[in-house]
Amino acid sequence: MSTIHLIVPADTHHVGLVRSTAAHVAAYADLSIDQIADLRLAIDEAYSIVLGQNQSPGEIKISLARIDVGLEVQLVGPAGVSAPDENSWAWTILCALVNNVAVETSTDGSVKITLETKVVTSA
Amino acid sequence: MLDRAESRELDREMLERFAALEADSDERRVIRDALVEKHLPLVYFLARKFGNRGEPLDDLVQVGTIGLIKAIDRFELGRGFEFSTYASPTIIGEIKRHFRDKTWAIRVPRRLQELGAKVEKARSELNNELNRSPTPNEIALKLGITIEDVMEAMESQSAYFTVSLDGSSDEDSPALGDSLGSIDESLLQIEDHESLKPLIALLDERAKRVLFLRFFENKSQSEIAQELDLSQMHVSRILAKTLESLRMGLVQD
Repeated sequence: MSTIHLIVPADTHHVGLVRSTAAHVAAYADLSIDQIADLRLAIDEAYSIVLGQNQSPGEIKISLARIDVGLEVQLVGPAGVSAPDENSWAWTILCALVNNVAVETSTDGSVKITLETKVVTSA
Repeated sequence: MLDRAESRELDREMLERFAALEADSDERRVIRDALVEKHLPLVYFLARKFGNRGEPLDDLVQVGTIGLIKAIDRFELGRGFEFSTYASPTIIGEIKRHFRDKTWAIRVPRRLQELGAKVEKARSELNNELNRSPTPNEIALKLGITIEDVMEAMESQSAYFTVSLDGSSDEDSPALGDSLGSIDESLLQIEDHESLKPLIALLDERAKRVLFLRFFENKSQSEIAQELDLSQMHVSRILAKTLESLRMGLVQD
């Protein structure tokens, strides 16, 4: 299925672009209004995690993929960022906003977060 | 002319006296008037920052002054803040609230306002019909518009409120009651709860309630909207703003 890739500079100015893009893709993936609203919040949270506190220079790569069950969004930030603890507030929030959350730290210290929202609209 | 230290000392004396007086005493009123007059230049200064947004400066000064009075009434000497530092966010909050309440109608094109209202109505009707949150496509079909129109209507509402202007505390929101204690309890499972608690305590009652219902009671945004008699988009805006303030607060630690 189709995947949309987006690369933005690793700064706070571009989170709106990512949020809106994700919402539009989610609309065409047939997620519900509630799920799209939650996804927007999850993007804010995940973006802020992969960006890291020190905002190291670099890029944030985002992919939005229509998958069988719904929509999968991946965000990969610049190197040198620490992954969130599973008991952290940010993690708790993410888990409540989408169906599945996964986090990976690569060897260069960039964090990848995968968010999955499942379509629930079968009539 | 007073220098900065003298001015601060005078603030302190006046606020101390103010705090010690009975709420309805004449002297308290006199001191409050004097404090308002003394800090009016701050209100003008802050109001001018919003001067290019199409609202008369006088109106902004007027609402800013309400913020100043609130700040005087709420100021706690023991916290160790300088009064002007404490008052500025309250004044700005009132000015922003004015924009939120009054000027939205001017800034969002009429077409989008009407579309937003139609979309919200359709969302709510479909929600009842289907017993779940509808998709943009279902709303588009019902209204005979495109998915793009639905998204544009929603975007225009959330973008304006979350990006440019936040709200100040809402005193008219429903009381939180027992759920505050439950928030505290639920927070214990979270490792940063010690840093979170004071941040959550700073939220206004409605924001706390929305946060609690969404993340601790696990209710959907539509359910929260129904329960609190708000639109779903409004619930979204409150959540976005609240999560952002918590995120900012946690980073600063």
